[in-house]
Amino acid sequence: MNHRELPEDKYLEDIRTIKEFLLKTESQPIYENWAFYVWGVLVIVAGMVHYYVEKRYNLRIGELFLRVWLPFILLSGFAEIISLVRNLEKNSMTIFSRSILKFYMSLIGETFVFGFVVLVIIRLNGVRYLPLTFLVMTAGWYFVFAMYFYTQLFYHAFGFIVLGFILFLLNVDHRLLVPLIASIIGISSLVVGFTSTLKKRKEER
Amino acid sequence: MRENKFYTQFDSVFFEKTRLSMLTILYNEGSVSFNRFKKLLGGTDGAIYSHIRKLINAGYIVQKKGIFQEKIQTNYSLTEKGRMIFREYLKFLSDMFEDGVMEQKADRKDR
Repeated sequence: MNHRELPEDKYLEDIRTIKEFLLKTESQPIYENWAFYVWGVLVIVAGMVHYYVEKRYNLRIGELFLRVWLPFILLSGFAEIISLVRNLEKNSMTIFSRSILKFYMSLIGETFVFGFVVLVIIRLNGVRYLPLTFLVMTAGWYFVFAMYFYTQLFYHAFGFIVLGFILFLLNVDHRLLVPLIASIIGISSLVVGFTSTLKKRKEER
Repeated sequence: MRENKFYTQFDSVFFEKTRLSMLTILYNEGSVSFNRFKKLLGGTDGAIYSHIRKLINAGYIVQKKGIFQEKIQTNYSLTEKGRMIFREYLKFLSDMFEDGVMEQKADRKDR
């Protein structure tokens, strides 16, 4: 079998090359890490503002959405675009890279599902279940994020689902539920920002 | 002599570390800019450009000009031929090492 020795070495080298570049291109963060800190702080603040405004002015869910959550969504979206574009530029990637396209297709699909579920809940007069729905649907977004670089989000997502079920079974209905759930999601986002920064530093070393 | 048959099937354009790396990157990312190649592979602009030209001339990749962040940018992607040969090469590597393992098992049994 001596005649195979040289080609096999070459093939082994090729396998190493293919593996190296598959790993390099697969482990790319989508956003700059500061975006997670911004989202974390924004969602905690929005949860608190929701609690305050609801208690003080006794607003309906539609008004709360327009006055509290829409500005939050717009600010979060702005932070997302800035951090995405800066990250693409830093890594010389295009928006048409396969991983970015797959990520956004999944994220947009998940958002439509979320929107539909919220509409159904509102029509069925189940507004009190919206905070729990938001928690579990955030787990859905986290699963998408977890498939692209942010693997630790799998644990956060499963934690959210378990917590959502517990709160549902206990039939918890309290005004503090919104700021509580927003704070849990916010802290989780801050943790992701922190661990992603550590991971990046470790990889750079 | 399976390996020789396959070896001649993949041409010299394919059998070069930088070009194989480029094909791997394109296979995984779909569309890649020159700067992205430079960032991932390192090396000089001239060397990278020379490898790109060879892959284009062999019909494995194509270049497309597009606008990204208000600038004209050239992106590269695999052609159907490039995608097919990369898949065939992965299959060949997998088959070869499976055959190698089977041969080793057979040798052990014979002994």
